[in-house]
Amino acid sequence: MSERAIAGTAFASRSLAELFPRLRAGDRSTVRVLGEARERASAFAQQHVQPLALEIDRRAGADPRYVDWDLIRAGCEQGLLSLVIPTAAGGRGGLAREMCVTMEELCAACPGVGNIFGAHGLGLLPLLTTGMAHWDGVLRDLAVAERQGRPVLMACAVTEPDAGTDVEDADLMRRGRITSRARPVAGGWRLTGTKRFISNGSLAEWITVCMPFDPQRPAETWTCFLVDARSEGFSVGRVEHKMGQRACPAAELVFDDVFVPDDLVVGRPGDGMPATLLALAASRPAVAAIATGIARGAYDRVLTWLEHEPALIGRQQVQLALARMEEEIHLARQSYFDAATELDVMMSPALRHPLVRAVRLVPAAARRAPRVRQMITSPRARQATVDLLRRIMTDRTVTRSLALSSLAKAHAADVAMNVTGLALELAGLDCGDIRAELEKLWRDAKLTQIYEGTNQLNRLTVYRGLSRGETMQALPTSRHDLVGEHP
Amino acid sequence: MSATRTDVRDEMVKAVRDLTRREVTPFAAALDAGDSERFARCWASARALGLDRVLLGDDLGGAGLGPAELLAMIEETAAGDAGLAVAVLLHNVALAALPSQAVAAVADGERWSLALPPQNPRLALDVTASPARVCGRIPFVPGALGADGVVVLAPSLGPGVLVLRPTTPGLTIRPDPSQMGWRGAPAAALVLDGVDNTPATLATPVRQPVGPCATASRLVRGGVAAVARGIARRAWELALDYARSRHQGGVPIIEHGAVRDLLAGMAAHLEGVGPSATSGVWPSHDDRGALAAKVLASDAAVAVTTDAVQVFGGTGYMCETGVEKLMRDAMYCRLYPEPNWLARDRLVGCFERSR
Repeated sequence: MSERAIAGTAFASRSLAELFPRLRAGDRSTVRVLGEARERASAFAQQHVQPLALEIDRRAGADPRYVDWDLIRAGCEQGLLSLVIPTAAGGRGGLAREMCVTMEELCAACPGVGNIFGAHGLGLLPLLTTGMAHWDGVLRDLAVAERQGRPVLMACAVTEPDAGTDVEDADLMRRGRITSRARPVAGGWRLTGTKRFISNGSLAEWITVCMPFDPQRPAETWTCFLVDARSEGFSVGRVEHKMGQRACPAAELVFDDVFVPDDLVVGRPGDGMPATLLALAASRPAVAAIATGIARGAYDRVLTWLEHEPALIGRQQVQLALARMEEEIHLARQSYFDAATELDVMMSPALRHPLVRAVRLVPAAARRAPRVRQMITSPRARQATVDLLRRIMTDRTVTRSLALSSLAKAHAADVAMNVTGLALELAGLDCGDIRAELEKLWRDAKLTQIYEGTNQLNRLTVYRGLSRGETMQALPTSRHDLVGEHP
Repeated sequence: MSATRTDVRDEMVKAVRDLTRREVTPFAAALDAGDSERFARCWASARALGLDRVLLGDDLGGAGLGPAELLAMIEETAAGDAGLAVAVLLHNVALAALPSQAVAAVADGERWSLALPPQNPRLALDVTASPARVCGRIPFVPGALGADGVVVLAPSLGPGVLVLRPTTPGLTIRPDPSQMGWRGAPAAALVLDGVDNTPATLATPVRQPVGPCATASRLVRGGVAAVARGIARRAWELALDYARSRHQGGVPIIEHGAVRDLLAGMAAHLEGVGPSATSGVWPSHDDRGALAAKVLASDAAVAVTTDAVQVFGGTGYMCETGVEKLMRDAMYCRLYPEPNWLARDRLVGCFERSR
């Protein structure tokens, strides 16, 4: 199957500048970096992912716990697990655009496999946007393990059984049914609660999880923690039997009085909601890229098939449908690229800031020394991170970035559904082997309208951030009073 | 239609609705998972109601009802499981396409399926010169796997139909390993390699209302429209219940404008393809009513089921709720017996021919 599809894939054979025309006016280093990322991802997708996609889907359909670790290990060789980890922490230093270009390539082959790496990136995000406290801890360990060929996966746990949409919107959260809870104890916190539909949840060694420490004020006390999956009291519950994206298992995670030391709090206690908004601003372009990849995968497959069906491709109805698909995919791609560019432009000053550069000058080994680590993870350092973030970006810029990301996500997800549906309709049920692939992509596409916030929630964010011009409280407040204290 | 016949129809439709609620809906997941034992039980219950011989006359042990009644019962069955409904539909059309003497040879309890000509012209059945042998491949025949026989309709066979048993020499039945929808009617590809095309296998249909290939196709399309309606109704019921019981932001999600908008769209689609949409299938003298009903109802079913999953959110994407299954089933209504773009093209063709 793979040989036929690779030979004829319309998008895979186009240059980066053809996919992103505005790059022609961009700087050369960006073009080079994105080109390399795309090439790496494309080669991996076509050689390793696409030939196995249907078989993995079938096996995971029969047993939701099935995971192809060999494939994930092969992804390690391409640096897919450290793609967005800063170079100072041993990673590849990629930003949003690289992540998106990579996701499109992977998901054109198999969205489920792409989502393993995407959900891993989502798990990393809070560690990236809340300062350098974890760069020389988990992030470096993860990058080192990857170089040794041992995948260490992450997951992000936010959704709860009674709170899906609620946990992604501060207003809804205040009225919602959040049942998880973090309790301050000597030297750290105790976490209790259940998280649901967590992509990579059953595979992750480290989980970033959000819980409130005051159930009466969940939005104000929402806090992000980094949890070691080996912790006592942590367990994986049910692994879900999903309609699609089966290569990436979604699991229920149970936290039964799990202890988390203070230095594994991500950001400051109570800053979870701004951290969530920033993480969504960063993750939604990637979901848009996943959706674009799905649409493009369907388009490529049906186009390749139609090339051998002259009686069909000669008909205007078919040509118009193909043109419509091309049109929608192009616009979806530009929308995720816009959102990712906005995010990169917003975040870049943080990475170039003298303080960050100065820390990078200190050798990694020295940064891991207990005293230095204590300094980096201290409440004062966390506060300094917040101050830095507030100097280089504003609530308005983050709101705008989030709105653009939400726009891209909702639009691309609809495109994925439309295009995969059209591709199926063009091919019909008599199209041979390609049918199973198109059906899989259609099943996979539906999830993109749901995760990272339903499309409806995303569009309401677009309204608030763009149409109404509202500025959300998207950055942690400057509240020096809380520094160093448990609530 | 006489009052008596209406009464019979209403009574049967009600009986099918009750049967579906009691014995099919609770086991839709099992049917979707290919549980052949459960399918056999459902089939036996359907037979007990006379659902296997709706179109046949008294002399052949049938209910003597017409296509409109069959479609009404198919819709009720599909609200429980689309696969089972398709199996019932194709069995009825297959038997009705056979001459009386051939039907008489169908043993009580047997289940038959129907193979329509492949949509792709490249795949047309090849009927060679005498001694007549049929070669070719019919890629997707719902319900063919496990069936006791298949009636093949193809223009190249002339006015006749090809009657195949699993043991027919030259016939290979290849299971479809990746069937996404209608899994309660396990599909197969039929590979015909020199199947004997003599009167023993080539029955000439003589009875009405179902005879020639085009007539059976019309009934199948109308049936698919009815299946689509049944699927959409079930999706609507599930989504409405969930929207009333699920709380987000401290209120049932039905109170959120975004969810109301989804539900409104679903309701409008359902109203738009109400029972009247399939009522025009049969009286017309060509395929226009059936084609239009099939296109409208299947597009509506895909839209309604997709939105139903959206109302459920992540929960709807998980197999346990049974909502995603409806989405998969609905998509097959859009693709069978032909994809909707082709059905639309044929619909215009009906008007061209009638000029």
